[in-house]
Amino acid sequence: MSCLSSSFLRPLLKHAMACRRYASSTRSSILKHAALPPQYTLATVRAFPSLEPLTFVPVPTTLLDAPLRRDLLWRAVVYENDNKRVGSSNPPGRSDNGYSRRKLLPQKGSGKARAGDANSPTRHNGGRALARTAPNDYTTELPKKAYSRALLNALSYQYRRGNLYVIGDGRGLTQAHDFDLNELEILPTKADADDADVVFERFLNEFELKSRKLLFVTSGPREGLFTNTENFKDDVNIVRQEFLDVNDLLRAHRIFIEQEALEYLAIVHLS
Amino acid sequence: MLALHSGSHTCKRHMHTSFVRQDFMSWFKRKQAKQATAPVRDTAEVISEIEAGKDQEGTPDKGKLRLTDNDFVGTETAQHDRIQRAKLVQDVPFNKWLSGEKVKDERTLKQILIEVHNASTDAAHKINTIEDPAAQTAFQDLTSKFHFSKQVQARTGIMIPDYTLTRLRSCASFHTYFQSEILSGKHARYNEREPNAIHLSDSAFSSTNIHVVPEVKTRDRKKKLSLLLAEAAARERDAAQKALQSARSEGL
Repeated sequence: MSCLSSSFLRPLLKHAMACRRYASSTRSSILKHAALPPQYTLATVRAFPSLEPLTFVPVPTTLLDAPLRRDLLWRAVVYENDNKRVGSSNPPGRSDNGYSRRKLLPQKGSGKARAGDANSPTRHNGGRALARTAPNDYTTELPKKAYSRALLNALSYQYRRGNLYVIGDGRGLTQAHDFDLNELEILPTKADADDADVVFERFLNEFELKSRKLLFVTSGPREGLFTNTENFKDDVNIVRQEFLDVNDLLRAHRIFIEQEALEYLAIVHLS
Repeated sequence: MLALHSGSHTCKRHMHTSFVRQDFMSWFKRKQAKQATAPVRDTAEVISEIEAGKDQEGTPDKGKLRLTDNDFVGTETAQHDRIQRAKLVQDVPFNKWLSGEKVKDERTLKQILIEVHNASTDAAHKINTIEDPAAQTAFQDLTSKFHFSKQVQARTGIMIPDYTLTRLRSCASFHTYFQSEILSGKHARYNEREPNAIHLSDSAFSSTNIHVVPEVKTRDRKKKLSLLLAEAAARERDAAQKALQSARSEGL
């Protein structure tokens, strides 16, 4: 009887355990009535240099409103800074140091500690331990996906703090004023005038941006912007969309990015 | 000027160190302008004033140690350039779409919101107060939301971040945002260098045994210090004068 019952119960128990495992592994972690997070966020497209709003564009939250990931930002910044190192240090090792190879003391009998030659790294003016010869390679690696996510994370961080301004055209909704442009460029007020740098200074005054670090991300070369921001070159950083990095984004107090550049970043880093 | 030779280099050293005044002719112009503005008076009147002992402007004994504009010939070049540049920057054509005056009180804010809302909606959805149900309804589409937000920003003089704009769905929510962030003083207090700073006040705590020491601004602190120092200096001066007088009287 007991044998029969055990042979009958064992498969049943096995089945029940499988059911339990299946139930626990497939159980959804999302609550039944939980609201889904928004998929899009709004960015105001503005004219430059007045920053007058021209239209709204919906932007995916993965691009501009991703949750902050400090770990990714840290890794990306370390990766960039490692890769920026030139590696030109060329310290003399014990074989390059100029002293003699003579042993300073006899091995025994002097009453002092054992000593080798004067080039020993333990001695004052000795050679450098683990010396290396330039060029030294300090580059590290980071998966492309991690770097892309970090860059978008930095962009999202600045967006949430209200430091990101998208510059572009209204695409039919509204037109830019006569004094404004739809790209990050500074031009003189008249064809024969030479006051483009004055316009840029007025822009800084209007929005209280003096002594703030500004980042301009352009989709193409902008000669006017380069030449007319010369007086404020310590605070102004102009970067082409292809060369934008996480350090630039995190260091800036205000970011002005062209709409085309934002689209480029979405294509390159979201895919 | 002295020329000193040291090796192959020649150093030039100026014998006098006073500032080079470029625009010294302005002194004459200024004087001329001042003379032109002074009204012509009758000689008899002037004589009678002098005889009566009335205080004359520019008498040599009064303003002897006080420097006036006439004592300075020309203007400092750097300062002159700075003023010229500031004038240029101020006069350059610029599209100023934001109001120069920022919204400061509740009444103005409500008025702006109601006017902007009514201008962008049809007669059926017009509102008289912010508490109207029509003000609570969400914007019909992105275009109407855009026009509303742009007008509100332009008239209040305050730019609203895109992140916040995304979350504001109705006229009433704009009102709540302005109340909690702008009119409460939170926006004015915000310091970019200390973004997570906490501002405590007595009103936040109902308990009687909690007292928050009010924050004293650096500007106020400096003002008070300078006031105290001036008072101390005045008292010291008085004390010294009294001591001098008493010493004199004792000596007599």
